[in-house]
Amino acid sequence: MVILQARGLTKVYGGGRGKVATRALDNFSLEVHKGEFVGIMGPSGSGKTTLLNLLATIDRPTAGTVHIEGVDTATLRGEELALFRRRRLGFIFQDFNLLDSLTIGENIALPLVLDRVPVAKIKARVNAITQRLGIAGILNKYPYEVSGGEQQRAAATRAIIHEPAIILADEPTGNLDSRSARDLMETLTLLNTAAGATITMVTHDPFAASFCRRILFIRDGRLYNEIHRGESRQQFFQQILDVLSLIGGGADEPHESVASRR
Amino acid sequence: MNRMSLWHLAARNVWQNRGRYLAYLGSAAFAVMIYFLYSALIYHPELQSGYRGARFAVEGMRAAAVVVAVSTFLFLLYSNSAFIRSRMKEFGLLSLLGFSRRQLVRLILAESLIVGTFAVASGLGLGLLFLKLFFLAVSALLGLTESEQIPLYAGTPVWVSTILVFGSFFVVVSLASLGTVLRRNIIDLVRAGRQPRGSPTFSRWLAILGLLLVVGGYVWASIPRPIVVISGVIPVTAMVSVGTYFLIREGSIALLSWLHRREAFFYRPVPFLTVSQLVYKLQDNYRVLSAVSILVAVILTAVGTAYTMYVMVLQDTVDSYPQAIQVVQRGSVEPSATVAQVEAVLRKHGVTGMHYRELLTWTASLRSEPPGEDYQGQNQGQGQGQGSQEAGRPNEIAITPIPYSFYASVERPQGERFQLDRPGMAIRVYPFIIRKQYRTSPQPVTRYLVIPASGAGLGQARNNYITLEVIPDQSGRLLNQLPEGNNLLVLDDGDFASLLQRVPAAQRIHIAMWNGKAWKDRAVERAVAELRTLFPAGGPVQITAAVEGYRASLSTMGVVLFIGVFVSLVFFAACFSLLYSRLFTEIEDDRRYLWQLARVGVSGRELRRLALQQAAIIFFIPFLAGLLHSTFAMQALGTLTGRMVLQYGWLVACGYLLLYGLAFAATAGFYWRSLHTGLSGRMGRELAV
Repeated sequence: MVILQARGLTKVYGGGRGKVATRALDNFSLEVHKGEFVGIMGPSGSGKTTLLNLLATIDRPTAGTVHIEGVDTATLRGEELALFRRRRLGFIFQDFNLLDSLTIGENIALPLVLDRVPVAKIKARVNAITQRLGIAGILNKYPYEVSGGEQQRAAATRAIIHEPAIILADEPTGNLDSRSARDLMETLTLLNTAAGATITMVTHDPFAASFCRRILFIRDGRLYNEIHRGESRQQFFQQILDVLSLIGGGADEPHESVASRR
Repeated sequence: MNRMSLWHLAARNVWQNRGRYLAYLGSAAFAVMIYFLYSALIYHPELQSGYRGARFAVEGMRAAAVVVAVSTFLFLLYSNSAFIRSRMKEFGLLSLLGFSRRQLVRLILAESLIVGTFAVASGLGLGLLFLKLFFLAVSALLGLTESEQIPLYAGTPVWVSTILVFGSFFVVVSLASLGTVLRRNIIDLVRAGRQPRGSPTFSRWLAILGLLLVVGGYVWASIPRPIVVISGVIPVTAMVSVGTYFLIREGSIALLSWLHRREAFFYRPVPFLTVSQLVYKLQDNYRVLSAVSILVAVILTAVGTAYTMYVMVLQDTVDSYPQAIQVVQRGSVEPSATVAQVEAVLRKHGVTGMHYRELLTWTASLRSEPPGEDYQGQNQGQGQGQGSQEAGRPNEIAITPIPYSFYASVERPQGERFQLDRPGMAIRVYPFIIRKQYRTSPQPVTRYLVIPASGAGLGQARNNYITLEVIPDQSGRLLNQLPEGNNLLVLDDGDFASLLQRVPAAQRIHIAMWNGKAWKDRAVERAVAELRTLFPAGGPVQITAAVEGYRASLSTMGVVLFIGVFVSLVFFAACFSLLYSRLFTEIEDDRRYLWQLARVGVSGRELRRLALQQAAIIFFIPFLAGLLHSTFAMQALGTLTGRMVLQYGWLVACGYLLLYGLAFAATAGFYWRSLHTGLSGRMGRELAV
């Protein structure tokens, strides 16, 4: 079942009076099926963040369409769009995006609260999922009281709590040390395999990407390559590094240090 | 870094923080302007020698100028420390980049100097701009005509005093903030911005203390005894101010954590975000909330009191002049000639609709003891055992008899009218109003009216009297001020006529009265002015006119009200500036917060509601607290004045609420626009609201 379908996505920035237009994304198409864990990689400026913003409905394409669960997101306006985003999409951001004024538990509950789910149901759901992901112990702490890794796992939990159609993750390991990054990726894998979550992740961290089942490489706003994971994650990791070195233009992470994390 | 670029940096810092400085600068400049205008009157050379009623105004302004200066100083001290706190991180960064302490000191001083100079200069400029208007207003309030108007004045002492006072304020304030920065080391400064605020803990003892202080103050102010209220003015103000501080802190902790615990309430979109955000910001909010509550209470009470005084004095004036024009004359001159003269003057000035009546009477003597041989001894202080009920008072008063028909025909707003239902009864009308609950009981007392006889004055003809049962009437005057005998004695028409017969013509008093709705018209005022020249004071003809008393009270009380309103405008500016900077100092944080919410799918409309709701709470909670305080203060004022004054307080509060609401609408609108612009920028497109 196709969850997300993007067709001919093009995004042009600038181009107003006398300014040079930048084509950040050029006729890009993508399909994500239910239960997939897709990675999107590419060098800086390749258009991967633009792509994610278009998929996340935070930005509008110059041309092309995005369908999520069959809904054309271009037809949604204002309030509808916000509602759609908060009900059908789950987000994981590089900066965690946890509210300082809420406890970890409350942050996780936020999407359900916004959707006016009864409190008993909220509590049950939060407890169940945090037990499973092993972060039940920090529910009553505030974000500044826990580590970055724990914050990001909490953010991942928040992204899944309302059972969205798809989780969009933007450089989720970007602010984490290697240990925390591994924990987070294992959590995401768990969500993907055990809870059947559909995940699309933008990253330039090959180690994080190696947890995906399929990776699309973008370069200059176009699809450059696509690889699928076999049985071995280590092998897949090597494959990723190979593609990155072919892409050139700097997959802007020093490979040596990343390689040592396998 | 050379001097030039230091100034450059300081100027750029001020410019970059202009959003934050705006309200602060504005209210400081406003205070400077008010102080400048007041000083222009205080140091005015011609007012020293005394214009009509001007001395009073000058004294009032002097007191007001001190209040303005002191409160502005406190306000500057507070706001500046809040500023510095919000910029700690920036100073830390500068230190980190190699700024020496010395350079930091110079930078802060330079910034303060720029801001202070700007505030004082713009205040002086505004003052100069409004000087003409201000003098016109004061002249109008003092009831000065165009030719008498106070000439414009803004001499050296005015400038020197304003610049000196406010210049030194800014110096002291910037030195204080310098102290705050220098006490910390670099790492503290850098961390200042990131330090978690933590959730403040509830202290039961402080809560109880705050509650006791506020409730105690309220109870004290509510005791219906003037002496208690007067003794409480300062302690109650102090108690309630300190109590408010504790109560708002502990109260908001308690309330918010209670709301937090009520999960069925808390786990809904708006409470979830609003309550948690209020808890998060409580540490910063409660100081501003309590300061604003107290300021609002001061404003409402000050204006309410000034307004009450205004209404009361005018009412008293009207009450003490029941006749629009009253002309009193002793019988020797033929009264009809005088009356004709007055009528002519009224006609000349186009005064119409005046109803004329007259009364012929005399000044009699009413005694508590029958006039007898023992009387003189008593009067000299012997034989105290037989003293009258009104101990210590002279037991003989001059009184003016009037017939019952006259008594019955005069309308008095607060009047109860007594009947003369038995022969030998009389009514004594006191020349003042006493509130119903404080009136002496209308039980008749026995009094002795000395019967006039040829050549008899007070205290003579002591064997010639009649005994009367006299009922007290304390619901106000029937006649304006008389030369003597301002108490009236209401007699049966027949008795009055037969007694009047016995008064020799030379001792009779003719009272001519004109009354009508148009009593305070300009035409009446002009006519009265002309009558004054026709019948000069000290002559045989005494003129009293309601319009004169009314105008005099109006200009005096107008000045009181004017000063009151101006001083409270300064307080209002301070109040507004505190609220404004509370919202704008952390606008970056708020923007980030809303952006975080927007990213997880909170719609623009919901974001707007959240932001405005927070702003509304910060604005209106202290208003309600201040209103409550001032209600009790007005209650105390009611006790002091012996009247119902709450309605005046409410009226003032309504007017103030309007002003406050406008300030809120403007601030909230501006606040949301600034948030929204930032958010749209981050969202890469217009946020739908």
